[in-house]
Amino acid sequence: MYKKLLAILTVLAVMVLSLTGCGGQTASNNSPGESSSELVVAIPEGIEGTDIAQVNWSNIVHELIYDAPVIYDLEMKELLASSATSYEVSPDGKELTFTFPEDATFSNGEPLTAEAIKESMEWYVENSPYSGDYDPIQEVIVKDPQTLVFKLEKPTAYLWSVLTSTYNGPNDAKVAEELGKEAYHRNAIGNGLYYVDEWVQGSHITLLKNPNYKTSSSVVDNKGPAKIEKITVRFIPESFTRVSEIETGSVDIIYNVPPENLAKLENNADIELYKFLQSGIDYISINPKVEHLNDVKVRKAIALAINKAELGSILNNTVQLRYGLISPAQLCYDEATENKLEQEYGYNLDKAKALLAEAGYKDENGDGILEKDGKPLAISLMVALDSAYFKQVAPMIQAQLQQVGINLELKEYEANYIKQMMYDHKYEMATRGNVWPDPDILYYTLHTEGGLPWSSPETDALLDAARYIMDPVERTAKYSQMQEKVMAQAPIIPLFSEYKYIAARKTVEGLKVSIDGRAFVNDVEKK
Amino acid sequence: MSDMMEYTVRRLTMGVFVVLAVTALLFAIMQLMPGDPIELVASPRVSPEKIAELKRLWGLDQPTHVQYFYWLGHVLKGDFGNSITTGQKVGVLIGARLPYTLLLAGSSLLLQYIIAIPLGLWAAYKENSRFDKTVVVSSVVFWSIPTFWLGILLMLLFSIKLKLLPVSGFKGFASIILPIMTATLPSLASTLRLTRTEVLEVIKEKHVVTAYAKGLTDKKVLIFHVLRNALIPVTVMFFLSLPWLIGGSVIIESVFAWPGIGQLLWKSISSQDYPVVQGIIFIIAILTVLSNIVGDILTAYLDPRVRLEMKGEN
Repeated sequence: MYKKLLAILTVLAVMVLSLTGCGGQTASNNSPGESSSELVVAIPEGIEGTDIAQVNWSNIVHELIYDAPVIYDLEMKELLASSATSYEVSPDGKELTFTFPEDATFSNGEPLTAEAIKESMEWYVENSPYSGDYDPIQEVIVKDPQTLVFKLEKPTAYLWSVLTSTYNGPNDAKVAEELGKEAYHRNAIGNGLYYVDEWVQGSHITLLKNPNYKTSSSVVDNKGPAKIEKITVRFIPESFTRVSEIETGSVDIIYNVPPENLAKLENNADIELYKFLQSGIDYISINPKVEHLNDVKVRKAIALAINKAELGSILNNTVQLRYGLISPAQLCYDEATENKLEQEYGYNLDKAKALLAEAGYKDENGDGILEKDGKPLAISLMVALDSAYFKQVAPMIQAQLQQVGINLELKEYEANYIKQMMYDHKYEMATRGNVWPDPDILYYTLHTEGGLPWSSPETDALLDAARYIMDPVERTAKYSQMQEKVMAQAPIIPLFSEYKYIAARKTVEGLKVSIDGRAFVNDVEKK
Repeated sequence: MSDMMEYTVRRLTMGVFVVLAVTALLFAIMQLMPGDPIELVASPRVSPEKIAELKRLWGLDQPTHVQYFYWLGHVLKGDFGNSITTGQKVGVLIGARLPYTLLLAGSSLLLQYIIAIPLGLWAAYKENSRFDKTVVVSSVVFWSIPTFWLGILLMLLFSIKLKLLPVSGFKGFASIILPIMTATLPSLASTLRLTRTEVLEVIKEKHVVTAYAKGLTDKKVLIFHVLRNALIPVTVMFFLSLPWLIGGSVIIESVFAWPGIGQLLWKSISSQDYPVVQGIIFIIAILTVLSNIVGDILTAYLDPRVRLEMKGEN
């Protein structure tokens, strides 16, 4: 009996060893990252679908499938033609003209004409949750096969962030109508550097080089089809797994490098890190309609009691501290305004204590927590548990507020749940973040139309005005004015903008990453 | 109609009600969650009018019971509806993921039984020996290790240090080894200990003593007289484990970027994608009911005492 059992175990062991042998072979010979004509990219989340007109959020996959007519340069300082050869704004700012190359095509070889782009816009308006993006455009005129004109009611500054985004990449609407929404969403046809070859849901998407691609963009040297034949974008939710994949060399590029792995990857001679800044801010939203927080002095005291330098320090300085509401990776950032707000609302414990005293709070029972009318100054903070940054800093904020006598209770929830609670006004304080290249994103957080508990006619007017100011300097000034007005009421406490990292193996040459994290692979070659 | 047939029909009828109750309960629970899938997913750039339009489109503006019966009516026609977040057919989404989960969890379950039964039998036969103690202690150690951590440890050893196996994803046969090891090692303990306990009980029974008295060899007694009786609860447990094939591998699928249904379920719950969650739970509920019935029938087949109970002769 013992011998038999031993024999069975031996057979099992041999089986396992032989499997291991297979594994070794697969790992070393078929590893996609080792082919010089293939690039393997790992991102944390899979895609909702391939059609940019049907998704709620986009990522590198859509950036590879679609090319917008115009884009911002790497520093977000200049507008450049990309799939268009040129663009023109009429002197009154109400007419935008885009010219496309005569031989421009979609990835399937069908002509990419002005008419095709107009049809694509109609498909977008019909299907996208962001169909309102094109609201400022009153009329789309096909002037000739290569020229498209947008007529606007008035010059609209915030429209440019839509026009330059991947969401404005054209779809082959004829194919889309033919296939229907669902089928087209699995295999959309764009005009980008790559096209969809195979999408295995939850696993990866394989993209092949678009042989018809051309760009006018001066961001890249290679204006024609990509140098890399194939890109496989893998969906790897666990950050540890993503990091392990790039370390072993089976993946060439990873997105969302976790802060805890930065040092390890920085010390890896085979890996290069590309750093960019969140084009938005992480902040604490305050509900001014609840007890205690309905007093502006309390809200300001909270803002003053938070020592952001300490927060940055526990996050190993993987964030840029924020005192204003706009990130340097967004349009209309103004350093002077940021500095001014830091002076006024930066860490100041004495001022915070004085404000609370002015508001009528004092420690009546000596327990270290302030009271007013017998009620302790106790507030809850909803913390997004799916944000490593917020999870790390929340206990520190709790300790800092304790120093001025505020009892902060931390409640962890999923970010989506917090968002819902905020729109339902069922919160006291909550952590949130935003990302969008244009500061107009603040319209949805601070304007009455946004639906959050705080707004003011003055701020509404400033936000409304800033949407339509075309002169960048004047627009920046308007946003600065708005930030000062908002911060004086402290319905929001800006904390920081996260530094984000893309890690690439050094065999990947020619990768360009913009200040807001757009990756350009047009010039990429694998050595 | 035979007793067994009558019993099966009765259980199947009850099963239909169980499945309906589970789906109705789940629908109610998901309705209790704050927010709805449209508002959860939509970015601030989506206008309130568009949100209202999308809610109308997906029928989310209807009362809960109307939504439920609408969903049920379509399910009875074989249509699970479309995912609210991706717009794709739920059947297609589940169909694309199911093979991967069945491959991972099915292989792991089989391997678990292939390893645990002989080890449990041998450990019981050699009760209190060094072998017995080693097997029991090591199985409990693996059982105590969190799956997430075990997966990472195995990945560190086999993929990063030894470079023998792929880190993650489905890239052929080799890529399944680490996920299977991660799924199998902790679950060995329950089957192993159950087998061992049952064997220890059966081995002391009179018919086993009789078998030895008849001069049968150890091998014959253990396999034909001890194991057959000891395996009854183990078999039942096998069938009860089957529903977890679908929903039980969320963590492993996440660690190893395995494109299975566990990840889909988790993501769909987070985004309150009712049609997908309902579709998956519907399948799990049916599988649970069927597994229970098959488990019961098999127990009756293996254990004459149960058959007698069914006939009311006990």
